[in-house]
Amino acid sequence: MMSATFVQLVIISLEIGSVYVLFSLGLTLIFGIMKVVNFAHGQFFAVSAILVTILVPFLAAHGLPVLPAYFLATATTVAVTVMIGWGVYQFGLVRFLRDMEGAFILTLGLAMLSDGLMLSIFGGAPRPEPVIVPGTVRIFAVAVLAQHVVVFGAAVCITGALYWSMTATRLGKALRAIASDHEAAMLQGIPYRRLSRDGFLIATALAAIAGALMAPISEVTPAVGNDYLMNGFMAVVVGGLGSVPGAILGAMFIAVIEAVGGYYVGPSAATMAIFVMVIVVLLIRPRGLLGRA
Amino acid sequence: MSRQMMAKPLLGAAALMVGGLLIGGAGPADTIRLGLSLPLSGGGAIWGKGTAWMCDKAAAQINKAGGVNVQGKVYKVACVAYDNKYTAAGGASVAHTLLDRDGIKYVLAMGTAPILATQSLTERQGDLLFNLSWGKATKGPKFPLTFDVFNSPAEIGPAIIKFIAKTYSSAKTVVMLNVDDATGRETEAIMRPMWKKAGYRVLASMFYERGTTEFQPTALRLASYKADIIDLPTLPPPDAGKVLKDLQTLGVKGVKILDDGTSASAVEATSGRSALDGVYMGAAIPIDGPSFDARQRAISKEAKAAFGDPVNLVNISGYDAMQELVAGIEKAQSLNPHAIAKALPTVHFKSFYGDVGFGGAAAYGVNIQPLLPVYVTQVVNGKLVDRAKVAVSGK
Amino acid sequence: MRRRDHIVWLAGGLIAVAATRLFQDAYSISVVNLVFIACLFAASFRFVMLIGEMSFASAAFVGVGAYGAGVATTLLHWPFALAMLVGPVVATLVSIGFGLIVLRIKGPYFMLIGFAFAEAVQIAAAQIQVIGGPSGMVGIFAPRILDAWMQSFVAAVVVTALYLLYRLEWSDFGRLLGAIQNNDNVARTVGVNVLGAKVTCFAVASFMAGLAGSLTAFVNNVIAPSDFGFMLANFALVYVKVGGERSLFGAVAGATVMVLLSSYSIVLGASNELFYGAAIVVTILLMPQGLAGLVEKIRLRLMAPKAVRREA
Repeated sequence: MMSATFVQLVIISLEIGSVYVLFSLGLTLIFGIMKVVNFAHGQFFAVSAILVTILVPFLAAHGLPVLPAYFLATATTVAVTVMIGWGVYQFGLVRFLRDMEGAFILTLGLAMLSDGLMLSIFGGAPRPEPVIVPGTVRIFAVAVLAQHVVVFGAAVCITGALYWSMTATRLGKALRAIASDHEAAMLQGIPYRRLSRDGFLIATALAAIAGALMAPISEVTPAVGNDYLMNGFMAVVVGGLGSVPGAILGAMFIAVIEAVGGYYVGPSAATMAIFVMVIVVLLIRPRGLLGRA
Repeated sequence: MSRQMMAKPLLGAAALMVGGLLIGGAGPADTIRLGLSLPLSGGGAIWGKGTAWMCDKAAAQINKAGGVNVQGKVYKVACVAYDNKYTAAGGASVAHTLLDRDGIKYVLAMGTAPILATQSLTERQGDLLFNLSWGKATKGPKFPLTFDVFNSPAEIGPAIIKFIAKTYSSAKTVVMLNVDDATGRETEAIMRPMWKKAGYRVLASMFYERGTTEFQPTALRLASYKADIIDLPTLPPPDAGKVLKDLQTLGVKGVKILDDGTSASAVEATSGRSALDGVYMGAAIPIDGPSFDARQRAISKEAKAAFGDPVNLVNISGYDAMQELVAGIEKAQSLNPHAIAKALPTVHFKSFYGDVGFGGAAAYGVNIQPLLPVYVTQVVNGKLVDRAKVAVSGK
Repeated sequence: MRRRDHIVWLAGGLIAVAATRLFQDAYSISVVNLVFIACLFAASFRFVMLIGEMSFASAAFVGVGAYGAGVATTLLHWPFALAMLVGPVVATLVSIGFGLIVLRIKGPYFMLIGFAFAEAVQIAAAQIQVIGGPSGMVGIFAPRILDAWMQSFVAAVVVTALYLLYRLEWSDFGRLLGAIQNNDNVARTVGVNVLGAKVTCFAVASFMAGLAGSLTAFVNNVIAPSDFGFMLANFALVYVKVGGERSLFGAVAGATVMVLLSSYSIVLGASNELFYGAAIVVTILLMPQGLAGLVEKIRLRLMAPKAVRREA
């Protein structure tokens, strides 16, 4: 009788994993290029999710059908979030490239600042979520929220696109060159500052897209980003900081522990198991599963 | 070691002294201030802000009605709210600031950890503490200056279980899920024995960590017990929303209860309307029902506009604590916390719910509990519907 | 350290401890206590930074120190001095074990392992009912004789601990740590036991973190697992960077300023988080080298004309 539960747990792992993948991609990209840990990544996610919950009903009230309203809202939200990201980069982070401590504190301060701002602007109450793709679908006789299927599909497409652009486009190649050795890259005429800005903005856009995708199924409050941040960190560090395939592997690793542990042992123990297992993995592979020595 | 380095310890001492100068400050002498130690940042901010708003509401009403008369002298009332960040250390800082710096003698504190920190000061220094926590550990004869302000699981639990027993006579089994913090642990310790005593089998009782974002594995585990009743006493609205949505996806049929659920709209925001349909709540206020009048509905509407949530069991405590305090002061004709504490168990005060007195000796050993009604409500099509109104007695 | 340094420390320390007698009202005393404890934790955090690492696990060691004091006082009824020390000693022992395994890992990985460790310890502590579970422990009081002297006691303990850390930093051992920070491979090739030195450094810092925890328990009288999450270590890093990490006094100044700021910002009610976050952002942008860097800049500006004159 393992089959039904087994299939169910596989599907849950994929659901959870795709959420963490979406959240982690930006984190790992930022680390790869700038060698800093962005403590405010969750705030980009949160602001985007909140804006979507405001814009979709607004556009729907002006006669737009749900799907076009959602796409327009997402596009607007991503644009706004990227603009905020540009400001953060231009007036702050640019001074702390490759400065782990300085960037960490700056983003920590920004996270607190924006938590306070969001709380006073949007209030602390959970925001009503728009229904984009309603209902459930059955996969191998297991009921799954349709929106989760969308998130999974988007996670696959986005990671695919990111992986392709990192290997096949000029920008991607330059970013990878910076990530592996920024001095050598600069000697070859790659403009480090401009490219790390582009990398940061891409990461911000990824956080915003993740927020827009999660808005219909996650909770939407100013504090939501902080909740995802810890597991995002764990996924990225287990996979190997700066590695896109690593982020996917790390996210799946954590998702499987959360699903299997949560089902068989209980949610509280599963959360602790994540932290313990992350430490164990790093002891065996000090640079994560796919990190380069 | 250079001269500059020598100067620095002195600099530190000087900075300390400047800090000392910033300190100090008290309100006008003819104002009675109620200090509020509340979560005003993070996930709990919605509770704290609502409670502060309701306290201000009560203060405005009392001041408009002429203030408080103590031995011929008329006082105004005011609320002073600081952020305790829902932690013991934060609670300790706020308690020092309220009691020692501002010289406030009466405090309403929210959250078990901050309350523990506040209580260790109030009871020793002789200040009055209004206790806004779900648990029992900080209430009772050991804490003569601590008073309850709202219905906690000790009051809500029996009302809900009695109602469920009557309505679902064939239900026999329960599974429970609580958040793994002081609130969740204390509530579980109160509720689980209650279910057992009422003849139910508790098949499992689980906890999850605050900050959990994905609940599908938990929902699957809850579903696997096939219990008649799924009891979710302490889940904050967003978490309750996710669990309910996942349970719905799994097609779980059982009776679902949010004992400490305070607001249908806050849960619905995350769960969606259909997943919340039929769920029972023990701490929500059916403000549109027959138990409330136009004046109360007006306040609720104003509250919703001001901070996003209608009045509920928690934020009404801000209103009621102020009313309790004023009633106690007027009865004692004194501002002395000990005198007020002596008077409080015998007073009737103008609670948001109407005129109530104190009781609670059956649960706590002393009469520190305002005898507020418990409303068992059910969410039907997004609206709270009265199912039972239970008067709490137990002098 | 030269002899004059010891004298300066003695004098400065005595002044700092004596200055605590100026504060007699309960509120100021509570703030003074918080300031000194923050100074100690910041200095402990900075001590690990001497080998170029950020240890967010330190938050857990503060917790171990606090719970040591709590268990020894309320459950075992041990004497005060023992209760003060048991937490730091346990923290040291745990940190040696943890460090031996984990200090092979460097940089961001070590930092994020620290996060995971602090979170895991916090959750674990909440599961143990003997130590109060998630509600924590109450009634952790110092002996009554100390009631009127608590702030001076805290100051004396902290100043002594800071002095020891300073001495270590300026000893041969301290220079070794500096060499490891610069390049541990070079240190290794000249025959230095790098891991041993790192673990020793980590153990010393953890003892001090534990001591900060013991003091916290006796000052707040109440402790709970949620007090010792990774945010505590985040703030230690903020103290160090705001003050300037190049000197111990920078960490002390940063802790003092930021704790006073946070005590002040309580009165802002719901806006306190916003204010504190903004203060961090503004400080790090305006003073990337911290207060110490600012002092240095001013000093250079004041001295520059003199130097020019001398040359002329």
